Amino acid sequence: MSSLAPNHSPLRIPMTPALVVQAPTLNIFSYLYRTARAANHIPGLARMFLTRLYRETVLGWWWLIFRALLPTLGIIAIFQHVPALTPADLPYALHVVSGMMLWTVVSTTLLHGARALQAARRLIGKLATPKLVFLLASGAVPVCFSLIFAAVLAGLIVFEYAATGKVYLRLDWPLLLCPIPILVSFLFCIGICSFISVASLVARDARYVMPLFSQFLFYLTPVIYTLEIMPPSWRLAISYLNPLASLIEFFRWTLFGVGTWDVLSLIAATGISLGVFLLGARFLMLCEWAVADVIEAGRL
Amino acid sequence: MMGQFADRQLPRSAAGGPWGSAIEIVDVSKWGGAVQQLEQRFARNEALQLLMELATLMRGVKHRKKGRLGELRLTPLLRNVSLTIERGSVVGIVDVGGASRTALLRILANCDLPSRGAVRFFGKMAALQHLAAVRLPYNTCRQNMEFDGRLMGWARDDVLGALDRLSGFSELASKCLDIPIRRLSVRVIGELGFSLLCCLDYDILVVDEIAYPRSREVAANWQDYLRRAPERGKTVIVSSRQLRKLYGPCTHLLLIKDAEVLDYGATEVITKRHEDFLALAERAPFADIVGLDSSVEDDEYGELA
Repeated sequence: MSSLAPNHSPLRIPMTPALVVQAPTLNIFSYLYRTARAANHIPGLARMFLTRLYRETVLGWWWLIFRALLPTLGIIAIFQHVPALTPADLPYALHVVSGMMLWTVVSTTLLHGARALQAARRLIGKLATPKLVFLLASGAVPVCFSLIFAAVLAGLIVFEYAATGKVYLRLDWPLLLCPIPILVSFLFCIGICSFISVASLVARDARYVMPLFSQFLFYLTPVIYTLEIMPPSWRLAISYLNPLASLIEFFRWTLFGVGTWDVLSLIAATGISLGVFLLGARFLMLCEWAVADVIEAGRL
Repeated sequence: MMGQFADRQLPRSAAGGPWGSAIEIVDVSKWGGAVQQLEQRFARNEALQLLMELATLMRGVKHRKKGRLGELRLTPLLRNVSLTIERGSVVGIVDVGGASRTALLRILANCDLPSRGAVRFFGKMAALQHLAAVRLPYNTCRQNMEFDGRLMGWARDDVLGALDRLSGFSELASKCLDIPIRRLSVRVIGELGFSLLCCLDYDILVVDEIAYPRSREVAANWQDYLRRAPERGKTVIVSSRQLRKLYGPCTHLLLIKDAEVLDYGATEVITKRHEDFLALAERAPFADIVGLDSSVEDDEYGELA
């Protein structure tokens, strides 16, 4: 006999629907609202992406630290000897680590976001939520990387203080703005990943495009160099056409009070980032009807 | 637009439910088959097929904007389905072929979205399709179940409570909770998940196959669950490829013909009124080939290996 605990009370009758399953919408704001309502799935999805990250490996979560720090250490070790690259008013290590903190968010978001729909293909057939939720949940990996860099940055600042007696961190109100460039660059990358993740469902070429694109973007972003070394025309083009350039410079300014940025380029960067995000979200919204069909047909 | 029932109230069962409606289905339509058409057209060249699928996705985007989905000649799976399912009903879904039934079950289980319309659930819903969404092979069954529940949006306390009650529903399943899932057979995992679903004790339960092979203990408890569902106010939506198994436990039947609702009502009334349709539905296509001929009296509940 069943021994189910009778925990249902006949008096507990919900008057408002607990769940509404609706046809896909063609209104971007309605789509974003539905994504926000489905945000309760994001922690579970994020945990799924993180759990799968380094499963069946010997080093496990240590890979996160090695992948974050080893390239950075290599860059600092080699390029600190190039005078043109080192800034005048900031130790090169701090310059690189702060740049890599934001750049790692960008590169890991591009990498994992582009594969988010593919990685969650079993779930997509079992849970009808806006597909943007899966891309946003893939942001858990960049968050982990940025936390590692934040810890390294804090350690470097303490080290510089112990070595030189100077506190490079600006303890002022702009420090509170430092998460904003990270968030804006994350939204920019999610917008790009919206197109690539759908394309990767039918063509595996997409997974090879992202590392190339990411590498190209790395050279166009002042992560290991400063914008001042660029000729004025290049500086203008990079500042206005690459939103990440202004965002990184603004990020360094919030932390250390140094950086080549201006209000116009920052507005352009924010506008481009939000525009790409909205375009990507709109594309995902229009493709909702096809994504589940493609996965059901076993195209992966 | 409310579809074919626009001029009168949404159809309710004659008996009615003591506690109001559990599910409202409003003008739900569903079309499908886009990718299958592409596969038929471009089966020979894989690269070209991939490119055409991508192009169709893009064209589908454009057509979606302009409302020209018909250009892809999609198959209508559901057309203007509108009805209210009362709380405390055990509803069996019957159709000829199974495509419409599967489409409706997937929408009711929140696994798929309708092409048009909406479904409102007045109560917490759990579905058999939600189980095994993610399988972490090196984690225990308990951890996998908790993880599944979190992914599906189930409250953690509900899942933990259900795991505590599992031993009363299936002793075998409760013994396997702390074993790594990769060491268990698919049937044991299925039984474990199904037992968890029943022990979760949510208001609405969607099960796409009522006659899934289970152990005798679980089958008996499942029968008891279905029998007591009306008095406990539980709403259960079930279906089966073996349609005769629906007539006993179901209080209501929903008949779907040519993607539209043919009738909905108490089982006794529907079985008398639509004998021909039910006989046609029982003769499922390819049943004799795949071994699902309902006319064969088989062992109702198989033994667990």
